[in-house]
Amino acid sequence: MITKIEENDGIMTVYLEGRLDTSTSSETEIALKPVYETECKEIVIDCSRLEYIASSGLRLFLSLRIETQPQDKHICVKGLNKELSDVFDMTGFSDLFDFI
Amino acid sequence: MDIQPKTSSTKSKNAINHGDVRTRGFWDILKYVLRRHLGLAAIIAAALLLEITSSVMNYVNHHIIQDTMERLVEQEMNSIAFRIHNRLSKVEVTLDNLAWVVKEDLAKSDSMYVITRRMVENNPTILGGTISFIPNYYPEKGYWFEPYTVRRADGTIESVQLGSASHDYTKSEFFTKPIAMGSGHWSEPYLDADGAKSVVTTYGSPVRDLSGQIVAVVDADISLEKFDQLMAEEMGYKNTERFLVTGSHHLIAGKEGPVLEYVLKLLTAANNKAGYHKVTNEEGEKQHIFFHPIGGKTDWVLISVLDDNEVFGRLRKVRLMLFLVTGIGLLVLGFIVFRTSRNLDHLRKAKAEKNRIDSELRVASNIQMSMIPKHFPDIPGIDLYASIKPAKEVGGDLYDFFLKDDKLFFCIGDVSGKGVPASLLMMVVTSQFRTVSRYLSQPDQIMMAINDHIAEGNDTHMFVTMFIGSLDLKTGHLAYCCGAHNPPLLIGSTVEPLPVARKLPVGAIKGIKYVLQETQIVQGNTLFLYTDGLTEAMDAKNKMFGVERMKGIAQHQLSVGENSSKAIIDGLTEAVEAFVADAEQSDDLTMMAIKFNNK
Repeated sequence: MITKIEENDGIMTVYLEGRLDTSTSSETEIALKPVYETECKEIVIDCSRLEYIASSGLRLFLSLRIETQPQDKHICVKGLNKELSDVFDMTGFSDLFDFI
Repeated sequence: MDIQPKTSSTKSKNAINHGDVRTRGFWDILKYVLRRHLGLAAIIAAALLLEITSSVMNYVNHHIIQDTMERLVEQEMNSIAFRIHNRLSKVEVTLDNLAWVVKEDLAKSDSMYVITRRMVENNPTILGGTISFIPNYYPEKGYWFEPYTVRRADGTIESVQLGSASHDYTKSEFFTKPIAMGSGHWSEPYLDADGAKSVVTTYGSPVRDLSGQIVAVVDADISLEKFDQLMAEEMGYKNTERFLVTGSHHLIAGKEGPVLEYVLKLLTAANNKAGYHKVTNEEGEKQHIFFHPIGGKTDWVLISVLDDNEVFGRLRKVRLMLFLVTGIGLLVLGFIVFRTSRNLDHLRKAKAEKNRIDSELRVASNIQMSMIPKHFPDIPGIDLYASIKPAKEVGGDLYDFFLKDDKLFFCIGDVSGKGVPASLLMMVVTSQFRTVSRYLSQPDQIMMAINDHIAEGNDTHMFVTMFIGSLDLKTGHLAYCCGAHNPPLLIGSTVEPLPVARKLPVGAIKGIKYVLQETQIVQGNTLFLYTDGLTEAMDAKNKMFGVERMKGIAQHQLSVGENSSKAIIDGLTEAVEAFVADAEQSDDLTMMAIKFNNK
């Protein structure tokens, strides 16, 4: 699991690459810390290289959503593949985020 | 009242403890120490062994060196004594012979000057020679008659008559002693102020007339400087100090000083006898002292004093070096043992800690599994079976069922993540389901109640996907609610997923409105519920079991007529185990099958 974060013109982009399952979720949770601390109001989570997400991975998305809401941050999920898109739909997570 | 018996019981306890301590003998303590501090014991044993070996070697070497030293010094002293003896005996023989010449020429008093002159001329070692006659022997020569020849410092030889009132030889040792003893005698050293003008020793040999009466003494003076040279020769130990003293302890050769004083005291105690003495002087220095009487016509004693440091210094250095080297070696060994034992301790502690956690997890697992119904009673109208298999000791999957008002209430759930954190939430959800469904009868109501309860203060944002249903056992009417859980399968003539509304999992966000859905279960059809541990079970290449494969197995069970609840679950368990093979079980796996069979 690789997590990369970039900041450009007030937009923070998070690149997730690999399999986000129980065994990788805790390291990813630590890697996502800057998202909570950033001044950027616009956050893009680029999932085009994300292969798989388990419920513990979904938990990280839920945390981001809930914790950043009071900070007026807007989270946008980008590049979900078909399987991941189904997971987001089935779990109702599609309603929590905007998608590009 | 209360205090009294307590005090006495404490006392008796103490008494027993004291007894225990006393019964622990030396061997018990030794055993305890060996067990607890094996490394330390090994080092002490090694140190003792090395020290004993080194001590024995040192003892043996000390003896060898002592022996060698004694033999060497004896040889040296023998050799020096022999040379002193030689030098003296030349003088002795010369003078003893001259005594005969004097005896032959007694009639001619003036020839005595010739005799003394010859004596000095022919013997370079002799500084001066006299023939001292008893008083009034030659009346014409007066009371004293002592012809004397001396070798001056410039090499000239001069003969004079020495005896006079101011030089009364009749009182001198070199005259009185040979007469008293009737044989040759070496005098104590003295300063010859009149003759040779140096410290000399004199050999005197008595002269007898034809009747055997002693009438004169032939004397020869020899310089003591000659002996000093001898004393410096043949020194095996460079710091050896040598002395040559007379029987009454006048110094003939060697240096005056505290050493001599000390040695002479010892010589007095030893009665001038030959011997070896090992002593420690007032400054704490050890010394080896040898006495060796010269013998012959002298009572002289040759003395050698050896410095102990010179004799044993090298041995001590070797011993010290060995001691240091072994010491350093033992320190290094000790360090290694200490580190090893500390690592072992860490390992032991870590292992004990792991054992403790393992046993606690086993207990936790038992508690968790006791929350889940494991017995499937014969309930008229349904055939129910379920299985649960956590990936770790404890897991986040759950299922439950119970009967209320002729309805079967059931649920299946999957907490996000696995292990201990998931299991804690699983326990909360399970007990919530039981509690809430006691007063609520609609699955959506139950789910909303649980959701609000879990979401309240859910800082970790953990959640649980859940499916809750209630099946009317008379009619087959199913009311259900799905919170992001995998859609159950409906197994009839075909295998199809139950349509579910897409909603967030339980506990994610407070206040979610869940949807109540309804359907009719046909006689003989089975509702199959599962967690993603089934469809997302992975083989060694991270390939998933998948929904299609699951459906296929269910279809197969159906077609071969093995479609009881247990048969379907067993079939799928077997299939998933075969699929996963040697790969590690990645997620908790739970299945529940409810076959409606109202006949």
